[in-house]
Amino acid sequence: MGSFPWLTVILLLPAAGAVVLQLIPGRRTDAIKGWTVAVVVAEAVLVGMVVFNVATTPAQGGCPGGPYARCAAIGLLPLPMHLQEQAPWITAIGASYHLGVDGVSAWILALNAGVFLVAALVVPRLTTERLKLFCGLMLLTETATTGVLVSLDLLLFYLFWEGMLIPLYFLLAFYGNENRGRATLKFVIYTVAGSLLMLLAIIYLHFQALNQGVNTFDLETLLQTPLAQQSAVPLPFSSVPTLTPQMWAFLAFAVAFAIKLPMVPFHTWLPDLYESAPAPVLVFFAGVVSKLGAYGFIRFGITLFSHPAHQLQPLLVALAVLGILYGAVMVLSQTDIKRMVAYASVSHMSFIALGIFSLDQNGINGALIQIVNHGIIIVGLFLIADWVEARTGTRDIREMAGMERRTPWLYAMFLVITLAALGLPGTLGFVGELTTMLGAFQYFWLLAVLAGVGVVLASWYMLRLHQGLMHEAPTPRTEKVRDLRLREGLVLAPLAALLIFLGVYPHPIGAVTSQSVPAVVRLADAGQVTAHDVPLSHTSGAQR
Amino acid sequence: MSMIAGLPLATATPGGGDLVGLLPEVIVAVGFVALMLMDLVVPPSRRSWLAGATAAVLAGAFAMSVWGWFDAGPAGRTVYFGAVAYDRLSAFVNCVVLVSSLVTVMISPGYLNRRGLHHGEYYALLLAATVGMMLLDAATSLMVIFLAIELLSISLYILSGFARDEERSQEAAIKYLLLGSFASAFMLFGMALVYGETGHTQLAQIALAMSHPGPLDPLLVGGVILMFVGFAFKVSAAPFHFWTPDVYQGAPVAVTTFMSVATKVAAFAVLIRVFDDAFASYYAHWSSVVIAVAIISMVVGNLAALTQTSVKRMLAYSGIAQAGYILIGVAVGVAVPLGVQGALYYLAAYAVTNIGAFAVVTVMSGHGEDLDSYDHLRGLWFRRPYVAAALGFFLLSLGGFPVTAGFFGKFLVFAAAIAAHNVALAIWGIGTSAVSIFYYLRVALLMFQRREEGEEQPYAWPRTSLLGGGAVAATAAGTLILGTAVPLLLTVVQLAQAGTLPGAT
Amino acid sequence: MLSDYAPILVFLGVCVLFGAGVPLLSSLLGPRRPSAEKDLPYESGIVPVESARRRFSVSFYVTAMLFIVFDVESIFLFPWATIVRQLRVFGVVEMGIFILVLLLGLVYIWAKGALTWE
Repeated sequence: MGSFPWLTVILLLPAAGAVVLQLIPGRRTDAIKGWTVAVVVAEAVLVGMVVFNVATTPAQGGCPGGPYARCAAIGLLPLPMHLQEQAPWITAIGASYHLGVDGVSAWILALNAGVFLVAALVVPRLTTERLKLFCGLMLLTETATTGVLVSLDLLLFYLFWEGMLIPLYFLLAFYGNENRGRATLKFVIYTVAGSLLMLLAIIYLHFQALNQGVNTFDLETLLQTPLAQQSAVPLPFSSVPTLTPQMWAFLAFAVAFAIKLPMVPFHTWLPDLYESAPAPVLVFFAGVVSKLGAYGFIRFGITLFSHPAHQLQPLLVALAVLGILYGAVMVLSQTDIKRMVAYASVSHMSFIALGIFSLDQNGINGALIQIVNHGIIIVGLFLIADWVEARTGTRDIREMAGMERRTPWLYAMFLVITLAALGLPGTLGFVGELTTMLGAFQYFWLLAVLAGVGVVLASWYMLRLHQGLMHEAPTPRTEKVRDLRLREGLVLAPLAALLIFLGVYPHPIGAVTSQSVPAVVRLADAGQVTAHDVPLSHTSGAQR
Repeated sequence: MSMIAGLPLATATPGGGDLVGLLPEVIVAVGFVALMLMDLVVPPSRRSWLAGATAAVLAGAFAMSVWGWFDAGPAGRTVYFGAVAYDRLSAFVNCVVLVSSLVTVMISPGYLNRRGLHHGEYYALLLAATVGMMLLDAATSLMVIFLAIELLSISLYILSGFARDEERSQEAAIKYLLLGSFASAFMLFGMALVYGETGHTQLAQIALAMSHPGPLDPLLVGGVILMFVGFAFKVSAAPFHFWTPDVYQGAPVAVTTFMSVATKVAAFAVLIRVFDDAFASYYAHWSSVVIAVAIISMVVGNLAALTQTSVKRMLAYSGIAQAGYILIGVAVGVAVPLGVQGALYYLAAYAVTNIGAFAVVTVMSGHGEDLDSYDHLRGLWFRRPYVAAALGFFLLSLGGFPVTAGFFGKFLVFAAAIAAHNVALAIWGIGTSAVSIFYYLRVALLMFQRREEGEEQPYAWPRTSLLGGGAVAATAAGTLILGTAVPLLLTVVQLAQAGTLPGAT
Repeated sequence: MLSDYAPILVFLGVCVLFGAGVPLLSSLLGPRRPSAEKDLPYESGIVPVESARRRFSVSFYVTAMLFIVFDVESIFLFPWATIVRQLRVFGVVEMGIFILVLLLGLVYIWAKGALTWE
């Protein structure tokens, strides 16, 4: 795609759109909505081009099967990138403006553009000034999430990661139902606490590299910089050496990502927030923001800290399995459809975490497919939940039944999404879950079995949700319910179609992810090979 | 030994080169006297002319400070027999102080008119305090430090009691006067000990005397610590903070705006000059005290701010906590240059953010009482959307979110702490920052809460004047710029840090 | 270094001894015969006509403060006078500015009416 800075364009386009939006007079609501949709469509088209480019061109750099020191010597980067942009930023402290896209981030970028497109299409009727603000904040959020996905400089990444909270905070605080204040505060404090720990770890990494004479925040450079071996430090008020500084740093990253994901036991902000947030915000929040935690683990967590990741693998995997089962059981005990979907999301996200922490090629590939799959499903489920609530005036599943007669279209779409969510063969859910479980199986067979129990539970609760709404005799609330409007159908139909199409023909995703996952796995594996003598992955190459 | 051995006898007289070094201060000082006299001839209905004249004086001094930055050069020099520095640190801090003054002058006329406090002395006193601050950040002699502190303090004592008819304001003035005098006494005692043990009042000579190897001098350590206690009062660091909430709440809020920012900036500048430079050889003896005060400030300030129900008091406690964060930079400033740079960056970021937050409170205050209770803010968004959005932005910056100025301030001081191998200090900072998010966002959320149907509006927000709105918009823009155009300010603070205390070595 | 301060310590001790000792001695040795007249506030030997706790005009305070300000400032002229020859023109100009600022202060308080007695 030449030397044109496409990544900068896709990064700044939504923010620029938000600025231009302020010029439109507040009462022209149609113009505001139209402009917003135009911006996200343009963004989606550009992202589509970028993803296509990733799928069709070979990566620059990369290290095909060999120790990294040798690769670095001939100028290859540990993480192969398909598109890259680099410019100096804060040179005094070694921070650079380094963007890049590879097979790991490409499909998540596409998901990102897609969910914002859906969100822009379902923006609710709001009074004039509030609508303009809503659309502006949404576009700013898109710039931040895009920035998280393309940043290869740790400080730049952190800037977007934390900066994302500002528009999100206003969106969640200002719009949504009456419980939003508490839920928003809970979410923001959780996230900020985790992020600040991560900031500390980022600064620590920077100074570790600086001790080696490298003044950098750049991921690729940090991956190539052998870090000094550090002995375990004792906790305050004790003399027993507990964890190495690298382990602490990994834990700091892990907590930040685990909160966003969310993994048990850091999930408690999620049900409250999902219950109170307005539908369009939920669409991109559940659709992509929570996926960024998973992305962070793959991009930064297991590559920069392969050794700590291997050491903590049993714990992480156990938490993931716990999350799968806990989320599933919680769904079965809920009656509020939004909370049901929220806990189902906890369960599904833990599935993604399981794939990542298997630290295996299949597992991570599966996790990436699951990210796309779950992104589409959760958007569909929340939209359906919202529309059902708008039609019946309740979210209590006990007050709803028998909507199938009056709503054939809703029934059909909901069915496809339900089947994808429970992983029926022929849907994308099946592909993702199968690949993930292959990875988990290779780590420890019992995990695959337990994850399988999770899948069975998922079938149970998804069918319970679907049947509860659709089958049997209608209740007073659902007697007069009307089917999807045309525009609602036009939003849902592509989602359902994608789930089936990619389920039958998952090649477009696999072809892209498989280009980059091996490099990630190699970096992660380095920590395992020399687990006893070298603290961090990339030193292994230098020593052998 | 002879007690006057260290005093330089006036064998030479100061010349024009000395005056150049003090030009911004002289401009403001002349402006102070001129404004006092102008007040006699300007009719009461035209008092906003005084504001215009004040702004002109401040702008002139600002231009001279900027020119001084380039004229002084990277190394800088001292003028008037080593009593005052003419260097980039003082030029930089002068600019921050002058901008704070300027913003205060912009929001003052409207506020003072609404409160019925529009007297001409206000502007003269504001300029007097500004001179004190500018002298303070440039002072390289114990005498000048003390004089400058007294000049700014006495002006502020009067200003905090400016609403003479109000009990709260009187209380604030008396409390500030008594506790301020206490602090001055501590500092003076410390200075006396330092002078007694080194025989010098000039920082460069003191630094030289301190760096001589020899047995530890307990009286000198005592003097250093007592001086720190005095400065800690001025920057309102815990546990020397007890005056802060009452004075900030009682003083007219336009005065609080100025006081909360400019005093702290100037006092921190001199703290950096004295401790990170002159007393660098005694680092081992004072660093633990500064670290302890930093941690206590962060913990006490943030925890106390959690329970407040008054905006002014919340911002006062937040200011105490922010002083703690800046002290991190000061505490490790001798070991790593990043410490001083981070502290200076934080100062500029804090100045523009905090003055913005208080400016919003000022602009929204008036007609009898200041906007104070949290309840006064409820629903502000629906009536004054831009002002509310700006306040939300300032609160996010105080909380240290990225793309705001506050983030890089925090980032740099934490980075300095880690670079100085004091990870524990950084963790204290991180932990307390997480706590602080809670109260900043709680206030921000209030503005987005609708009032119940038929609920009485307890507070009528005044209309935003062009000047007041301009001040809020300018500070918001500044907060954004310092949060994004980081290399710019970072270069400036690096240059400012590089030339501290010319002639010390 | 510390031993240089020994005379000061001795001086302090003597001060405290004298200050505390004299009232103590007088209370131990002096005769005490209280009467109603002796308990009255002392007013130059005349019987007091009214309570001493009354409000004074604020003008007293203002005048006193202004006097102190200008009185204290004039003290600066004495040390200046001893080295005025060494300082040459600079000294004269400097003191001129000082006096001018004081004068402007006088003009200010005069115009504000602080010197008029009501």
